[in-house]
Amino acid sequence: MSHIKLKNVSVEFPIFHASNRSLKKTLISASTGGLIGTNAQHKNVVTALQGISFSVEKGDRLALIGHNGSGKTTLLRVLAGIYYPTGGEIKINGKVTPMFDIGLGIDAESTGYENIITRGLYLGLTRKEIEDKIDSIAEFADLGDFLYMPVHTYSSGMNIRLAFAVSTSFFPEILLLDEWIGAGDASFMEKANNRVSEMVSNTNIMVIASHSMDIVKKWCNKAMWMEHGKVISYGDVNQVADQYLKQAA
Amino acid sequence: MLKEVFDDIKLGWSKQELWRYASTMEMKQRYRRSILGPFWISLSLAIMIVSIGVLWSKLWNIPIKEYLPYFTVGLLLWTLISAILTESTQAFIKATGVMKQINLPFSYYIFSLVWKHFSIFAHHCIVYILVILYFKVSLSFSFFLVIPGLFLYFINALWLSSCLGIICTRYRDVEQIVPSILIILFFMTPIIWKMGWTGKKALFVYFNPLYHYIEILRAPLLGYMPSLMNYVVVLGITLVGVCFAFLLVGKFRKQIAYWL
Repeated sequence: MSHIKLKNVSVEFPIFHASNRSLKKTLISASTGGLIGTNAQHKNVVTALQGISFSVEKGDRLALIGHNGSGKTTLLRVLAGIYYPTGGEIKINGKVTPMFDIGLGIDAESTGYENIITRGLYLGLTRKEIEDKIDSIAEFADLGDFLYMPVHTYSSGMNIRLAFAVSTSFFPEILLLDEWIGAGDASFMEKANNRVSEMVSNTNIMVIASHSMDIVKKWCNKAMWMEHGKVISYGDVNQVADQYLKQAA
Repeated sequence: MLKEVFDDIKLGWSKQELWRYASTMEMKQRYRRSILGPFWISLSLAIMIVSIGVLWSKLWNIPIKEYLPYFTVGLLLWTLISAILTESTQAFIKATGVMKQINLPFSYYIFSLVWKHFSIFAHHCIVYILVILYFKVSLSFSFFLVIPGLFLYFINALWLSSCLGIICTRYRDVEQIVPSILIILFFMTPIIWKMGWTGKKALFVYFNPLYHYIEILRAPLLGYMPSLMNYVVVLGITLVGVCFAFLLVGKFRKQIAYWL
């Protein structure tokens, strides 16, 4: 059973400035007992998350809402295992697939075919799984013969369609999104929306950070409102979203 | 803590498909538009070996048949070592984009870096083969020592890149010292010159660990045996290095993302 449990999780970023980025200065300050270059010893930290506790179970769709800089992305990165919390406990059951930038791993010099494989491997698929899907991905992205051409020959629409088609070609257990995935031109939009919907409906757990209350209300059952790295309120999506909107108005 | 490092290595190893494919792609990029294909990247090395090789054999008055194979092998090995060390300083800084998007194990980045340079080295070996054939260098059974030699290189590349990668991400000024140290080491190590040329034995060479590293592969590649001392030194450093790397990685692995 997939689940995510966070208990009192906090994240602190060390802030480095020129002198504590320098080994020389650090060494000098160590050998002179801190007389010279005291800066090197002095560490500043920024608290990005503080005392975050929540738990979501299989079937939950959690929305993270809040202003820019409220810690949504940092929390997503903690859930993805990119940042290890500096305090508290985190327990995740299930394979986490972060999809923050769907273009990650796409290289302009390589062909569409090669990029599908690279992107798929980055998403945690095996080579075999990708090979099996490659025809349907190429078909969905509507690349035609361009599949074997370098990506720099693509139009921007084709570029997005390629990244989009690979990323949505499988159903992750736990899906993390930083804003809803949208794609390209109008004609593709509907097709794309259906595909994302299908993917999201088939994942066990989704956590999404979004500024759009429409998307949040449409897709999520739970919401967490964050401000300055702390939880303001957590609970049913409609309740929390309305509370947030009221405060913002 | 050590168990976590082992798990990390296991997970990184299991991502083989990704790091092998990604490094193949990166190599392909270098020669994508060239006629020579993969060997395009070896051509500049070949030009350097021939031109400097001829020049030095004339300057030192040594038969080219003797000097060029020696210099070729030394330079090939040096290129591998210095390329890995130089790029290790950037191992995580260069991967910032990926590291902030998905969570791959620490060892993934190390494997992919080391693998890439070993693949480039494999391509460069064409120069070695041509030189050996042209000068009819006679090889012996000692050639099989290439296998343990390469294995030791691989292990050492892993621990060294791990340590350098961590240190250079935290202390950004170390990155600038590495190339200068490498240049000094290049001239201090018998690569373009040979032990015993001056008549006297250059004893300081024995204190240079790189000499032993070069020798454990250069000897079998040129048809003679490395000395026991070469192996003892290399194995000793490997053991200490691996232990040190385990401690360093165990302690700082989780903080790297915060340093980027």
